[in-house]
Amino acid sequence: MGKGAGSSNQTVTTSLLPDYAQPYVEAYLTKMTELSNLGYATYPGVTYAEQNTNELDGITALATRGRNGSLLVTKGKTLLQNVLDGLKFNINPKIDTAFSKRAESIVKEFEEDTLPRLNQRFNLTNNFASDSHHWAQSKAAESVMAKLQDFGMDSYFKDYLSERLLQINSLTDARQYGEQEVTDAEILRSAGELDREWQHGKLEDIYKKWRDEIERIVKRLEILGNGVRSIVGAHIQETSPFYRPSAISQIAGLALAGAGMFAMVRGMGVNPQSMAPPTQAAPNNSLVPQSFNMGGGF
Amino acid sequence: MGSSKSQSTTTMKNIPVYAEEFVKSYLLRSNDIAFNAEFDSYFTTYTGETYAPMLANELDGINKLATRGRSGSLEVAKGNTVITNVMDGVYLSGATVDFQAMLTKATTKPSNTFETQIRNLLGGSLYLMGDSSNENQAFVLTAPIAARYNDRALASMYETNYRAERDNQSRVLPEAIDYANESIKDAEWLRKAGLYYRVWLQGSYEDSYKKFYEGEILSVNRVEVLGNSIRALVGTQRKTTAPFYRPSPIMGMATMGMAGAALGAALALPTGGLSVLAGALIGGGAGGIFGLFS
Repeated sequence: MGKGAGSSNQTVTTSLLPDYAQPYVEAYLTKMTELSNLGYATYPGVTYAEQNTNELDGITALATRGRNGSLLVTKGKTLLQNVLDGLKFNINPKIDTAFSKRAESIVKEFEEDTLPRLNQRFNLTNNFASDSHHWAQSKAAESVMAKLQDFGMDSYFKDYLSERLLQINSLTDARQYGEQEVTDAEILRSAGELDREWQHGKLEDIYKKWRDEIERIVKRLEILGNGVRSIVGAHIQETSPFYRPSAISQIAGLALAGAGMFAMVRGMGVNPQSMAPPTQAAPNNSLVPQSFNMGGGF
Repeated sequence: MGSSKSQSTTTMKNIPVYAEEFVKSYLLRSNDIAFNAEFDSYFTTYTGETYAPMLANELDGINKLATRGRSGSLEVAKGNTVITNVMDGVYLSGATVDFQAMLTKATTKPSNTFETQIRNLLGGSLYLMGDSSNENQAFVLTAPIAARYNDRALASMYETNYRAERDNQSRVLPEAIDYANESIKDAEWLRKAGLYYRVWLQGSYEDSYKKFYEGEILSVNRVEVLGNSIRALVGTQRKTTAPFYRPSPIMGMATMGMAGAALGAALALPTGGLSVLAGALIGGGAGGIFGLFS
């Protein structure tokens, strides 16, 4: 500012908190300071639950099942492999006996019933031991062979077809049993994963506690920090320079106004009509106005 | 041009005066934590484990899964062979070992029984009872019977087998699709085994990186304690310094000179002591001097 001009500061204060809140704010900040100086104790209790017996035993059982598989599944697999490999064909231990028993009854019937009746018939007609008797015996024997052959097919061929059907039907089971290996692997892996997750949780818990311990000084400090942050903006005080005219300028202005007033009182007012353009050339003392006008002369 | 400039400063505070001590305390303590060696022990890297290793069960499980995926299943392989043979018509002709073995039994058993237990009963009693000829016609007549019936039976069994195998061909068609998809499942299981391990490995890499980063950023984090307190104070005070322009002394001198000249001229007339010109000159000079120093 210029030398002669006067200057000072003006302060505008805007409080966004009511005046009666000031003691509370001070109390709040004081208490926050106190609290920030107190010890920030880490939690002394247990924060991670140990695995209990049931859980551990369950995981162990899962792992055992996954690692060793199931006895039933193993047996089923063996059976299926044998069926699919065709090892069950022609091994029916009962089939030979069954055929023998059926054949035995046929032979017995032929021997004890068919042949005696033929002999009796040809004997009664005096054709015993004739060609026709021989022919009749051979035809009777042929019908026995037909029966035996039927029994043979019925026993062995049906058994074969039955095994073939079982082989085809076991295809679905073979797939499911084959996938049991995956089930076992997944169970074993899951058991390991369950263990690992618990271990990992424990490591994280230990790490969290460590962090809690080393961060406590900052956490304590931030108690005060939060207190400070909560009052920022609660109050606005603005101080800015205020400029006013210098005393000399004010005196000069006042003098001009006084002189003007003095001139008016002494009849030296400006005649507005004198503002019209002059009709003749201005005299030598043209500096003297025809009618002096404060407002238009200069 | 001709004007002079200086600076004006405006200060705005956003916290009450009575809170300033608290703010200073906060700043001071933050500074201590950030730089004082007393607090060094609070800014160290964690040396413990933070990522659990894979245990034997999990690893073995993954390996089993991978093995299954890579090698497939024995049962599925065998089933696959059966389906392939059925679809290829291997069983249609009845040439398989098992079928041939069955045929042998199915024909040998009846024919043996016939030969050993039936034919021996024929003709012998007739010869003893009155047939003077030595010829056992019944026995001779039945000589080709077993073979004949075997042929018939074989033909029948081949034909029945063919129809049964055609049925089987039709029956395995839907199953063939499921078996064909087994290779996809194997591939997925193998991929899954790899994925399981990779997910764990990725986690371990991220964990290692996190630890490394924490170590690297440690000193920055420490300074940021002070940084946080500084950020809390940002906006608590605003001091603005701006150029301020005021009229030049010459302009002030001219203005005051003109005012003085007007005043002098105005005062000269009524007093009569001075001419208007002299009054204006004196007034102008005095006004100019005032203007220069005002």
